[in-house]
Amino acid sequence: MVELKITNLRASVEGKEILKGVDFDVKGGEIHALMGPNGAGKSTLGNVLIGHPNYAIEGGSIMLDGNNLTEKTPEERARAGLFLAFQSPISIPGVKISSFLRTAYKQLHPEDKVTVTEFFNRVKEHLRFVGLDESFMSRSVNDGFSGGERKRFEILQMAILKPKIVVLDEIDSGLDVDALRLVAEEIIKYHNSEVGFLIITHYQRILRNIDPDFVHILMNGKIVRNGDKSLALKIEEEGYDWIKE
Amino acid sequence: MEVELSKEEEIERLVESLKDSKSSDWEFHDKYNPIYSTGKGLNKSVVEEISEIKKEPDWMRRMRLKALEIFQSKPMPTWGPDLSGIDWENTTYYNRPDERKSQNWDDVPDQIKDTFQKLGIPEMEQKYLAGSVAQYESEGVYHSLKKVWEDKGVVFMDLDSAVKNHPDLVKDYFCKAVPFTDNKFAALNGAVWSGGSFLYVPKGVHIDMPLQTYFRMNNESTGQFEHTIVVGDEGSKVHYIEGCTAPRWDKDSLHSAIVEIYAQRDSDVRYTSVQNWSKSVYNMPTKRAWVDERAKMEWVGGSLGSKITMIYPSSYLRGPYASTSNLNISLAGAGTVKDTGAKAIHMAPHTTSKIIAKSISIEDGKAIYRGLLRMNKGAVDSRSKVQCDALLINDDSQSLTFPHDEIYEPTATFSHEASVGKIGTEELTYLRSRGLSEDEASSMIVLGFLDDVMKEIPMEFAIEMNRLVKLEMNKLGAVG
Amino acid sequence: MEQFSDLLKTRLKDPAYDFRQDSFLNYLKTPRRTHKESPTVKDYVDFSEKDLENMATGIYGKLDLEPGGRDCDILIGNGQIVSKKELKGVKISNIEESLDDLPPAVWEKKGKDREEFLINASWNTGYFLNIQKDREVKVTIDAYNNGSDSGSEKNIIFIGAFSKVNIIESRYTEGEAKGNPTQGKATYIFMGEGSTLEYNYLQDKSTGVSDITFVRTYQEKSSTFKIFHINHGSGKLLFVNESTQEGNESDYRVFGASFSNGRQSIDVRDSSFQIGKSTSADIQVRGVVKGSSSTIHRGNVDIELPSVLSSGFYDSKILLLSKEGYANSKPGLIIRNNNTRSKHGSAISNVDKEQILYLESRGIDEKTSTMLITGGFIESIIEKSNNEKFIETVREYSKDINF
Repeated sequence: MVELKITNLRASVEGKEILKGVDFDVKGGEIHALMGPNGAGKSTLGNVLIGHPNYAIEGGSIMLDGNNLTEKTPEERARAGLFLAFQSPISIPGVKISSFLRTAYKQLHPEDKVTVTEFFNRVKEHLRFVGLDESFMSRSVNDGFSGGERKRFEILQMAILKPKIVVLDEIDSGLDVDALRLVAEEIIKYHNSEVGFLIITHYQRILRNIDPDFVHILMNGKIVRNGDKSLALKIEEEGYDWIKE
Repeated sequence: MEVELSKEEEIERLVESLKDSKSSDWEFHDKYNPIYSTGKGLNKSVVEEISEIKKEPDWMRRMRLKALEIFQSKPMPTWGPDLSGIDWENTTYYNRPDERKSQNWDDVPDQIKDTFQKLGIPEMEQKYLAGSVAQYESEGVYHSLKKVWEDKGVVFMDLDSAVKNHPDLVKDYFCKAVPFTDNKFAALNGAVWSGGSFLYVPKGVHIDMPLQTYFRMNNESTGQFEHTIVVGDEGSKVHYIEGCTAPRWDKDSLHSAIVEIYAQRDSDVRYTSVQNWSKSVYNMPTKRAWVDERAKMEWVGGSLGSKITMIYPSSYLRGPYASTSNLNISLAGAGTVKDTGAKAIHMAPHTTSKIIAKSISIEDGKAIYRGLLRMNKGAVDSRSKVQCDALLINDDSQSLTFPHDEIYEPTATFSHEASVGKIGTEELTYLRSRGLSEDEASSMIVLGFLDDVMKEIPMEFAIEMNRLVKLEMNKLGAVG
Repeated sequence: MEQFSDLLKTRLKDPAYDFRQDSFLNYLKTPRRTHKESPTVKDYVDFSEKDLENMATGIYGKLDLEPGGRDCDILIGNGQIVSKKELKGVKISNIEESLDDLPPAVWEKKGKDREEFLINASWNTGYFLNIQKDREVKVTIDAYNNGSDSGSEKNIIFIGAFSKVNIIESRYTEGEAKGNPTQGKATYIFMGEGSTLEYNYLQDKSTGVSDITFVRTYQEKSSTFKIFHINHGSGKLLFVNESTQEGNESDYRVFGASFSNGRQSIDVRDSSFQIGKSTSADIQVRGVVKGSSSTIHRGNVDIELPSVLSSGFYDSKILLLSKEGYANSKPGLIIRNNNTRSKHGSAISNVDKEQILYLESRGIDEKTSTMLITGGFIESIIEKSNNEKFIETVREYSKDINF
């Protein structure tokens, strides 16, 4: 049973506390949406989950299927099954997508003895699904990509690398309507009882394409409301002002 | 007359001289003419006379003489612009003002007030002069300090007075950041310095209003050798502004100031200087700041006019988390060489520096950026960003960029970018299609180019800079 | 230098005697760089007078090489051609046997730098590669020097008008390096109108050797010069590459990479000298610094007054991977007319932490991430080459970097 358990998580950046005790669980098959106004600490949460060195965990824990990830390196977290689609994925000139994906896949799924050709065919297929050209195979990681291309490539990685917990940080920003639809389809296709989703978003644009089971509102580093889809709709209509801590 | 040698003979001769000079490692090739000879212009008795007139303590007199020796022994810098036009013989090294020092504004002679008027900043006079040292010729003539600051222990006076009234304080800082062994012009200043400001801001004192000094060089061939010291003691905050506008003279004249800044722990010091020299001035100041732990040092500069300017304000980041920024605008008009830049030496962990230099070359003006960025080993996680942009207005305008980047620390991050361009036709056309004249459009684009730095310059100076930039542009008539 | 002066006199009968003499005079008259502009004199790659004298007085002897089993068209040992395949439209000969065939233009180009003057005075071997016009050829040159020999070479390459040429030249040493030898060479390339040259230069000499190389190119109208240069070996290295773009619409592209490790010190200079109208220069260099080595990248984009409608770019990036290493960059812009576009940038840092994090977040460990990023850093430069053999060799160098 897949389960990400976040308990009383507190974290700081450059000595400033951003997350002040966050609790929630994401189980396999569930889709959670984390919403909140600018500066609430949403992206901090994504970065803390993946183990960004600039973010210091001050307390609490991150558990995935009983493994304590709190002190783990980013690659150990990835190998445990955690995946973050970055808000602004960085470009790495000269590092070819083909060799990047292959190296990562071998690390994450050493048991899968897929051949190179088979693997690349898989990548090509998914490139098509997310609306990227096959020629991206020979391009460098995010190098010279538009904002939208970067987001599509993040989703492609999700589909290829097969994580158990998927954290999507503002995946809808920089995508036009058609691209958003493609990306949402890819997410829904990947969604099953063995995968849990955490969708971090400011607006509920992406939530029109994907129905969340749970909605959490983060404000000033704390979860201030928990609810279901109706909470997201209320936010869309009324914004965040009505919520008072 | 030299006899023409055959190639063989010439080779013979050069190889021969090579043999003789093995120890001096080829130095015989560096032929610097002894431009300076003791005689009319500057010698020991001139220096002693200056000290005598100023009734200085003995230690200062001895320092001057030592500096003179160093000045005489140092070669001229040969790596930059041609300085052979400096007329050492016909330079006056010290001018004694006829006027006596005045304590309040009413006592300032009308003639001097008139000069301030002509600077075109009558507002300044009322707003700021009450709290500033205004310098006329080579010595401070007007000097008044706001009582509030005095009560807080702030010392703000011309350096001559400070030598007399606060000798121990001055001794702690005088020629520490800029020793006169640093370069020939620093040594010259050490020997004949006169005037300049001494500003000491005690621990924890914040001065919110900028402190200003007005310089004015208006005696033909008067060398100006101010020495300014700004000390921000621990946790203090101060903004010091120096402005110089020299009227135009036909004869070359020399300016070689020293500015020493001590930004001590947790202090926040900003030094702004706006200079508009006449076209005959050689401006060769040495400006340096020592920046200690968590202190912040900002250099803001605008440099217009002069014949040749060589100026590279430096920040030595000596303590962890020290930071510096250096924003500079230079404008090289016809016949001007502006050799300007900045230096930042990272000597401690977590230090940061940011340098933005903008230059504009007009007609055959030559703007040169020359900078040094060094990260010493141990400057862990330090960061630096250098950006130089040059705008060439006319076909024969020139821009040269020579950054020197030296990184010894693998955890440091450094980047440098420079670009050279002209006023873009697209931008011009766009603005003109909205009804602006070509001149207006050009000035607007130029000011836009300068904006990054201009917005950091105090308003009244920015206005003056804008006016001067426009003036230079308009002189050209058609631009582009 | 007295010794060299005597040596020079023995070459009276050399048709290039005048040229040698002028070059030597230029050398004598050029002061040693004093680096007055920088307080860190010690950090420049410093060739002592002794090194230079070794180079100038060194006479390359014959180097016996086994031609068999080598994958190259032309094999050179100590500057002498050992074997050559017949290639259509390509003539290559030892320079000392071609002196009478060389056009006078060759003797007009005397160079600009001190060390270059000395090479032009002292060379005793080298090749003359002449490619006729309207040809499309690929030439592979493997050149070896005896690891213990000092000496200098002068190479001349002529590219005929409208020819398209791809050269890969690899420089190695054979045998051990003994006695701190200094090896110099000056390669002058003359490109005819409309010609295209891709010059893949690779240097991997023993670290006991000091190497001084000048590549100077003269580009006529509408010619395209693309140089890939890789400097990997030699304990002390000065590599200078400059193109004089006399012809209008000439195009010059530089893709350079340097690797320094151990106690190596490397000085790589790439410059443009643009005179013709509508010329373009685009210089991109990368460096990787390991051990207690030092790397300096410098070079000028120089656009002269008549070179209107021209553009010049210089971009240097150095990865400083070790605590004891040292990286330095001094790019210059010399722009003498305003109808141009130019820019330069340089960056020095360790591998970007954000990039490592990104790869780590995909399950790749830190060491592999660093290797991938460093490999990519070099890959982004060499991938533009059209020479597979060259690309493969350089990839091996990237893989060799230990983390």
